[in-house]
Amino acid sequence: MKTLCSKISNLFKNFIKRNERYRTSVLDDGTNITRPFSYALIIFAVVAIIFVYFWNMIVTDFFDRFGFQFFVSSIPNFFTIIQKMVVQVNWSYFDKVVAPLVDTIKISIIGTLLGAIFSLPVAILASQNIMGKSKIPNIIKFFLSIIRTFPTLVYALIFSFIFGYGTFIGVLATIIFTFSIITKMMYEIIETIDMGAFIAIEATGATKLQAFRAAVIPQIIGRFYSIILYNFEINLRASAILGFVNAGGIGIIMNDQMALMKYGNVAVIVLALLAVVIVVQNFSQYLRRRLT
Amino acid sequence: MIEFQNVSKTYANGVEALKNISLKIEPGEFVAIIGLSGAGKSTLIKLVNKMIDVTDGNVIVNGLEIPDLRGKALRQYRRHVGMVFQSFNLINRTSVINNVLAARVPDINPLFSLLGIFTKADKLMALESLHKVGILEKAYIRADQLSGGQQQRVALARTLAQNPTIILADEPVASLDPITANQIMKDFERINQTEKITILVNMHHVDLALKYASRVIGINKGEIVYDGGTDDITEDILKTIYGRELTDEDIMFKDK
Repeated sequence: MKTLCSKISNLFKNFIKRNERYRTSVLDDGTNITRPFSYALIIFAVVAIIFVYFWNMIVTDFFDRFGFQFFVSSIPNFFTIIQKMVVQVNWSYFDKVVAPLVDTIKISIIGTLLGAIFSLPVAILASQNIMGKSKIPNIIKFFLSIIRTFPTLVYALIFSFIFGYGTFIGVLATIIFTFSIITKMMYEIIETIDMGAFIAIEATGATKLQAFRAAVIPQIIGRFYSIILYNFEINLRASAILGFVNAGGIGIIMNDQMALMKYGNVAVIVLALLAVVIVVQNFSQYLRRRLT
Repeated sequence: MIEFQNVSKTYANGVEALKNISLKIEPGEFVAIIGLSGAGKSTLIKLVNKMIDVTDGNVIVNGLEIPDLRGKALRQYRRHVGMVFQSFNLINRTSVINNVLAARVPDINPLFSLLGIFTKADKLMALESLHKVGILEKAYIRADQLSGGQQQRVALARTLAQNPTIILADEPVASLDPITANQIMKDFERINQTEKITILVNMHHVDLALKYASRVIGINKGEIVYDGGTDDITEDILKTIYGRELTDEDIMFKDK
């Protein structure tokens, strides 16, 4: 194993060495300058090999078992459902959509705000440039990556085992998801800010906390608001899925009506959610442009 | 009074920045520290407000042993020592007055500082400081929209707002054009004379140092090679400080 590794690395080194003359430019007076070897091409090749391998595993396997014919002949089924939604659209169902839609908006607002509030102090503790040589940032980052491993749906499912069902479950799951995402985005922003101002305020005799409040908050607050708005959008869209585990909101009736194959009702639900998402998206885009 | 007693500083990477330095600076002096980059000028200045620690020796300011200061005592001491940086180190994305008010933060109620609330008196003091450096009309403009010279003036006003007895300036004019650099040095001179604040300034440019400071300390490879008035400096002394003939780069106004 060891000899194999060294053989491969030698092969690689030789390749880079021989490759050198293609990277060398000679100027008029005979001066040589060599561009450093770029690994981009090798990384591209590795990704391409992995892609082809997995394509064979998944897609070719599907065609081998069911045949290409089956795949093609199944495509129209998708349009049948869409067609049913259009033809059977049941506008009178809208009355029943309003309450769960408002629930969804409530879940998203409460969940996003609470998640954001918790995230800011943790993001500060996770920022290496603020915390100095402390190990705390590494520990927090480790736990954050564990939290991010599970999607919102899994949290909703876990909470539904513990607390039953309802909008409260949706709020809890949204808080956790929002917290994990915003904390990551914020510590990445905090770690790239200009530390000069922080050092200057610390030199006036301020504590780290005071220096952070005075010198760092003004640099990040605009982006913090913009990230909150972006997460509100994400959470609204995710609400359709949350309902599938009875975590409240519009997803519950969407799941029910799909199961009952009442595509006319599903159409109304989808359109209502779409309308809300578009309004929120445009409003937040407008606000975010003004914030950053 | 600032006193260095046999101070040495060796950085973690093995660089010996200062070798057994001793010197005294009286209150109200305007001292320029000159030398090549890497000579130890910056290290010397940063030892005064304990931005870095001594390896050996002692720094005594107004009777306080600076290397021993920690926590609250260090913060209280730093209230009296202003610092100006080469890169201004202003808070971007916020107004000039907020930048100056930031220097008041350690003195005010912690809850108020957390919420960003300042008293009328604090605001007036910030505006007074801006007025002293002649930039009052920019008070409500965002700091990052100002020119380099204006930004350094805001930094100076921020320092004045903490009512210091000593101002440390680490290459304050190195990133400014000659005309602006001259103006900033004039500001330092005026502050030194009217407010009786001790000023320690690091500079690379010999001509500006000789023009404005009352005393020059020349450093070469971590050792003091000259310490005295500006009038006594000769070409030979400059050669020992710089270890070579002066080049155009060492003089800001090249026609002289």
